[in-house]
Amino acid sequence: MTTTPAPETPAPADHTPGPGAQTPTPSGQTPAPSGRSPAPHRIGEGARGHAADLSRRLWFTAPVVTVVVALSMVPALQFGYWQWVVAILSLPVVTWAAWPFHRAAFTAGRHGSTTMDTLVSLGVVVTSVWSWWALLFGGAGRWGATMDMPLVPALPWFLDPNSGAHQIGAMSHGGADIYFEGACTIVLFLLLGRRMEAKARWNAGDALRSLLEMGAKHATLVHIDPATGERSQREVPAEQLQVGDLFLVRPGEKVATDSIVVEGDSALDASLLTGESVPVDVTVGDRVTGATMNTWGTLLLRAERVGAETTLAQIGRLVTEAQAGKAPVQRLADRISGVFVPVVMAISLVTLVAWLALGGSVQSSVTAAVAVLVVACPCALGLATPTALLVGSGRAARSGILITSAEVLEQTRRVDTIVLDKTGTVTSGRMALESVRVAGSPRDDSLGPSLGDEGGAGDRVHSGARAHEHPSDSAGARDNAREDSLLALAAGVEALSEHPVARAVVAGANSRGVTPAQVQAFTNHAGLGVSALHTGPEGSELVLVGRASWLVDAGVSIPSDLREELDRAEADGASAVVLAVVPAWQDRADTDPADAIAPSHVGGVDALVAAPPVAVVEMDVQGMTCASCVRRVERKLGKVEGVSATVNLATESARITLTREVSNADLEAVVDAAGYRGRVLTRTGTGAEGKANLEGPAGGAIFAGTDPVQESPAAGKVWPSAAGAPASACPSVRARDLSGRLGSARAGAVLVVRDTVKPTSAAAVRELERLGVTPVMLTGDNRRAARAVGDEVGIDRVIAEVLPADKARVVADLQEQGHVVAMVGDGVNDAAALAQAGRAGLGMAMGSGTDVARQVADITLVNSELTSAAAAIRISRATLRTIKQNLFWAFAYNVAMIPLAMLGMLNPMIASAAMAFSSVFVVLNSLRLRAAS
Amino acid sequence: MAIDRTVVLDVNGMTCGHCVASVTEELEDVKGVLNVEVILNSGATSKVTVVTDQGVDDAALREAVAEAGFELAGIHRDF
Repeated sequence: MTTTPAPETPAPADHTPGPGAQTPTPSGQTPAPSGRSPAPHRIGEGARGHAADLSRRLWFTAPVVTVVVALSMVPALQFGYWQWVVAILSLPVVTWAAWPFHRAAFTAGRHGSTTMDTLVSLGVVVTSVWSWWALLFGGAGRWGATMDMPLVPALPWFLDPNSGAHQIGAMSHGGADIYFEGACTIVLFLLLGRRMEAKARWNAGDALRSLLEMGAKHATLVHIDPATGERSQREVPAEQLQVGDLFLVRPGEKVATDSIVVEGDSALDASLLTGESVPVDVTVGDRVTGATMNTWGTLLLRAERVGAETTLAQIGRLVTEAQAGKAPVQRLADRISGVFVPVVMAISLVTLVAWLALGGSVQSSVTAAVAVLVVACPCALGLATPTALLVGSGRAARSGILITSAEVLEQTRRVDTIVLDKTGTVTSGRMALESVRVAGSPRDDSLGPSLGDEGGAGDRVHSGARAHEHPSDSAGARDNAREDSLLALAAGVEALSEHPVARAVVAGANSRGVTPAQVQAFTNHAGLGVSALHTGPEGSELVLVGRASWLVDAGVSIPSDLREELDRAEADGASAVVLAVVPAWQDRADTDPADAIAPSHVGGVDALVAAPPVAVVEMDVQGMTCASCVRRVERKLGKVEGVSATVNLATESARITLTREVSNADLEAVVDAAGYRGRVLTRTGTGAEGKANLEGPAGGAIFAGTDPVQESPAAGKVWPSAAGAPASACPSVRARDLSGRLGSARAGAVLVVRDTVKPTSAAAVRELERLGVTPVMLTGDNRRAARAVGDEVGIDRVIAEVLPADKARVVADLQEQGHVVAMVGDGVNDAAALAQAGRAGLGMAMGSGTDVARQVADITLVNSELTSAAAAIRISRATLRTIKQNLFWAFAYNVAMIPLAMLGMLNPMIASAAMAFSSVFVVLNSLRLRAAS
Repeated sequence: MAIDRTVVLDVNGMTCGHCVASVTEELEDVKGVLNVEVILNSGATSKVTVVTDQGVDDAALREAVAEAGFELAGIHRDF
């Protein structure tokens, strides 16, 4: 690996990161003390150096060989002792210029093996030695000797009726022939071929290089004075960024390195990296990847990984390793060479002996023997695999397909079954609002599959929701209006929740043009649902959104039509939440402060609204294995005064809300004491510590580690509230007391959310079938849900209700049935199955998936589209096909030319030219892969 | 001096060492609890043996188990 030393610059004393910066990165890696990391490896650098070396030898050889050939072939130019000039000119060519071949032949010979270089080296040495012998002792060195070099080979004398009349390259004086021009042209053409190969390697790496070199070159480092909170900026080279550094990315700039958003909102265009065309929204706490393009907002980021640790550098390494790998087909070529070369040497010897035995002259016998050696040189064979492999994997990388090993190509040929994990692979893995069913209204069939209309005399929504109804003549319009108003309420509450279902509801409302209602005093009932107060025309009403079982337990009655909707949704694999509105609600704390759960918040809803959290902390929590671990971490943190936490098992993270100042170290200590590993990632605050550093009315501060950062005037952005939510309506830190108070409440609506099928999945399935690969969908979901998705994308074979641990078993079963299986998955639970598939077939990981999945997979699909799986198979097969074409032509060429050479119908120069052409052909054939689709 | 008593609790829903730690800590926090021992039986009912002094009633133990996030399926008091 080439490492370029980082430019020497004065130590960045003026932006020394705060103590927070020394916090180990989430992966547990502490940044290297120097903070400097080697410059990313440049793909193809070795090939470029090799090409440069070959070029040097070539530029020297070309004019020399031109003179040698001209003198040898044009008798008019031949003066007295011209042959000596040729001999001396050829010396550096056959030694220095041909040195790469001699060295390789010698290296192989020392290990008792022969390679194509053995043939080349042998050909050059034999030709030169023979010519020197002829010159010194064979009479070819006489003054005035000339040579005639016909380009059209004559028949050997034993086939020629005019026997003995003419021999190839015969010295007109009748003495021994000299072949210096032959030796020189072999070297020239071979150097040309090798240089083309090196250039092809270098060119093949273009796509990868552009991938790796697309990172930002500069970064705007932000320094925040810990005492005054003043910010200063300066421009630094991107590679100088260290873990923990804060840096600014303005619209139109590239993100310098993998980092976390500390401040600001924007959307990042990752199309260069992933091929996805839609920019991804990011906000405080989100992780962003280096080299993505910032679209509209200015972001303050904290560097999380730098140098060789970045995603971009890792991708580069993966590809480099893959290209260094040897395909089985390459080993095959080497094996063939190992046999081929000795056989050719034997044929050459036999030719020599046969010619001599048949009475040929020593010169013509040696000529034929040397021609055999030269023409058989299987350098095209050696080029066949690497050029195709390089061009093919470069082509794949341009489509966002990273092939991690060369063996993969061989395996794709045989793949006949592809197992697709449903969630995150066939589907997006993200929830989307499918339907809203209002109590007492006909089923909304515009959104979901039709299962019949059972409208009729349903329950009316209760007064709280009815207040939002728009009177209308049309029942349908009234239903729609009621639906919208209830959806607005649900979205208003859910906007304050981080739950995937909540996000789906809010996104669903937005896409239907429904503005989320303004709510206050939000409470998250962890694992159950959410509640908040809404001021309706009839006063304060409590809006509850959550699991049906939670609401039923709390005393809410669910009308029969909504129950049916719930059952249907569940049977179908969708998720459903129930909305209930309780009119004229007052939180108990309003009337009875003694009931307040958190004594520091006595004063009820108003006090709650007036007392926003001091800070929100995003924490990485490792070591959790089950739902009770989640509860344990939440409870442990909740026991600290002024702290409440929501823990997510899947992302191994905790969102901690502080209503009084608690240090990062204390929070980490609590989690560590519970037996887990907690590390604070970000801290966003509005509290005392921040206010101390605030001058203006901005009303917020961002904590970067423990460095307070002055907030921009957009105070609303300090608190990561969702769209449409007032800044004051912060999530509460305590549970609302619902006990025994919902007896009269009724559910108003059922909201069904479902994981959506990726738009490209159906096309990908068709493409896979066209490639002769049978798709099989695998999922832990129930049969009906799986069947529904399978039907939507056109997969006949669906294996449902598979436990994560059994996924590998399913793959193994298919393998036992004789299938060569490719598996596509993205999650930790797919890793075993991916590895199992990789044993005899292919494992493909979705780029959006976990690191584990990507580590065990043979192929990573960076853009997370199933169409890439088909493209990966297609490109791999095209590459393999090209390799085989190359091998065939290399062999066909050798097989065709050897007999001609044996008969002496090729002179060494033409043989070497033809041989060089075979290499060029192979390279050109490989380069066609660049246009493969 | 109070005489120690042993109570055996049947607890549902415990799956891992962290669950054991949760239940143990919650029970140990109950005033009067002297010792807690858990036999984890993942996927089925786990046995929790609690040594208490006389002042501890079932409700306090039930509450502690609930606080830890699990369901108390039964209490066997051994006098």
